[in-house]
Amino acid sequence: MNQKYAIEIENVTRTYQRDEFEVRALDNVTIKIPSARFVAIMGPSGSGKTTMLNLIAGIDHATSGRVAVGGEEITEMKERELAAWRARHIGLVFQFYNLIPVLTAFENVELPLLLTDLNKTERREHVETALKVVGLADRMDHYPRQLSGGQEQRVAIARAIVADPTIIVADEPTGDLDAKSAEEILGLLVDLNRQFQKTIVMVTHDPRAERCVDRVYRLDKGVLAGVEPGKSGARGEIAAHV
Amino acid sequence: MKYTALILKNLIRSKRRTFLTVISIAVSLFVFSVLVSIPTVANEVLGATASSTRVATHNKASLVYPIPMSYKQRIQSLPHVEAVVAQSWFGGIYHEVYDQFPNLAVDPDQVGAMWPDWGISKQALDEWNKIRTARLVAPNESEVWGDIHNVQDDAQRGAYYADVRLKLAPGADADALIRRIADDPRINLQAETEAEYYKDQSVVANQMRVLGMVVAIIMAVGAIFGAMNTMYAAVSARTTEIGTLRALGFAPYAVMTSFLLESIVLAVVAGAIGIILALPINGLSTTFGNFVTFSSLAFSFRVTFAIVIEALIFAAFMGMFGGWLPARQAMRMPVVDTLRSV
Repeated sequence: MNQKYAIEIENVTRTYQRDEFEVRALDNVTIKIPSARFVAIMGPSGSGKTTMLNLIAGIDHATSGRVAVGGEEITEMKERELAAWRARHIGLVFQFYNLIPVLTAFENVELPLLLTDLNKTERREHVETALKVVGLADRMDHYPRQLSGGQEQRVAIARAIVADPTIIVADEPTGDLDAKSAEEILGLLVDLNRQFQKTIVMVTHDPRAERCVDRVYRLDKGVLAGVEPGKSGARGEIAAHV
Repeated sequence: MKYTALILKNLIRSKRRTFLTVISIAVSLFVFSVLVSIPTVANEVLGATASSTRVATHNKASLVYPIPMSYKQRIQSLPHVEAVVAQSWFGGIYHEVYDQFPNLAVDPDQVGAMWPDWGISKQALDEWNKIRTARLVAPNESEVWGDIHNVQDDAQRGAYYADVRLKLAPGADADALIRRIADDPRINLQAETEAEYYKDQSVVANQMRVLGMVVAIIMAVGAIFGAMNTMYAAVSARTTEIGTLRALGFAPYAVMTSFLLESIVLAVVAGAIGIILALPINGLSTTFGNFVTFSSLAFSFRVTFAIVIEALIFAAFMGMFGGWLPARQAMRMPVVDTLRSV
């Protein structure tokens, strides 16, 4: 597989059995996402966006076709292998943040590092750096219930980047946020892409996202309906996150 | 341990649920600790008075059948026999009717030779020979003695004894003598060393231990289901978290292990509380009349270090059994489905 592309999805189909019905979430889709790009996957509900994201993140398996991420084919990987692979290569951001409520911001961000060989001091350094990048260095001892929605999503982003993953995968990261917070989060993602050259794949309904990304992949009923350039030249309009 | 914070914080997450589970496990471990502490002491007490050079004989048909007086002379004529004492036991009351205190009528003349290890002073033996009534008091057991010849007539027991004890000369082969008694057709007796006799007959202590273990196991099974219910509720409430951890790269077995450890820690903490609740009985004295030595035994409950370790291990197993199925369920949840359930 060509490493010019961070993500290669070739002729991928994903079907689910729901009682007597077979649901075809993705139908023979081929997508190639270049490295260090910030892209959005958009489309109406049920178009297969989240399924596509799950395949890229290694959370789900394709029924047929090939999936390669970071030059590594993950289609045939077993669950334990995939878990280890995700820990090394994927940073995940969820719509509802998915922070562990009994852990502080620091402890939540530290979670991916528990899967590495870093010692406690090294983990602390990484966590503090990640929280500094997202502008929450002064909130590391706060619990999620003590943070606003936007702050929680920043912590989630810090958790996604703390282990320096190859790809950041974000599923509706602004879906649960007000307009101002959404703008801040999008700006943060843009900065991560520009400053740290992170490949970011974002599923979104948010029309503001088109102004931030380099490319938009449109899905409709499980089929790739189109690929458009993003309007990221308008990035200057996104509010700074710090 | 890297996951300690997550495990401990999850334990105190639902305080009410954790508290109720802890109480149920603590109670079962309290009962376990108390019941197991009894036979340990009882066995030790019985064992302390037994000897392997004294032989107890009783009717071969059953312990409750008496022995004819004539058998005593035959036993006295056996080789290597230093002393022979015939015994009969009688019921007695100490102050109140419910306070049963067995009394023994014994052959008066060879008491000193039969039980030299009991530390009865010469002065006490001399007085015994004069008045033929005595109260024997030891740290753990007590008996009242009377002269069998007087008591036997008064109680109209006829020409029978309950049992006959004999003491062998040092170095004598007890097994050979026991076989000889068993094989003698003229005397229908069963013989065994005192130590073996007490061990075989300590039915009360063994039954108490079995009863204690049965009760403790039944309670433990209930507590295990309680722990299982708690952990299933925890898994259900934390479905999205489980999916998040799996998505972040935690292997299925890591998720399972964290839930299992949570259950074990919960059970061990509860077990420790149960043991602490049992500690006040340490040293508490009580008595029971036993029909092995025909004496009233006094003993204290002792929650030994071995019992504490046994109880904690038991608690850990309870946690493991209670947490196993829920932990397995957490491990096997499809990641995609768990992330979908918000």
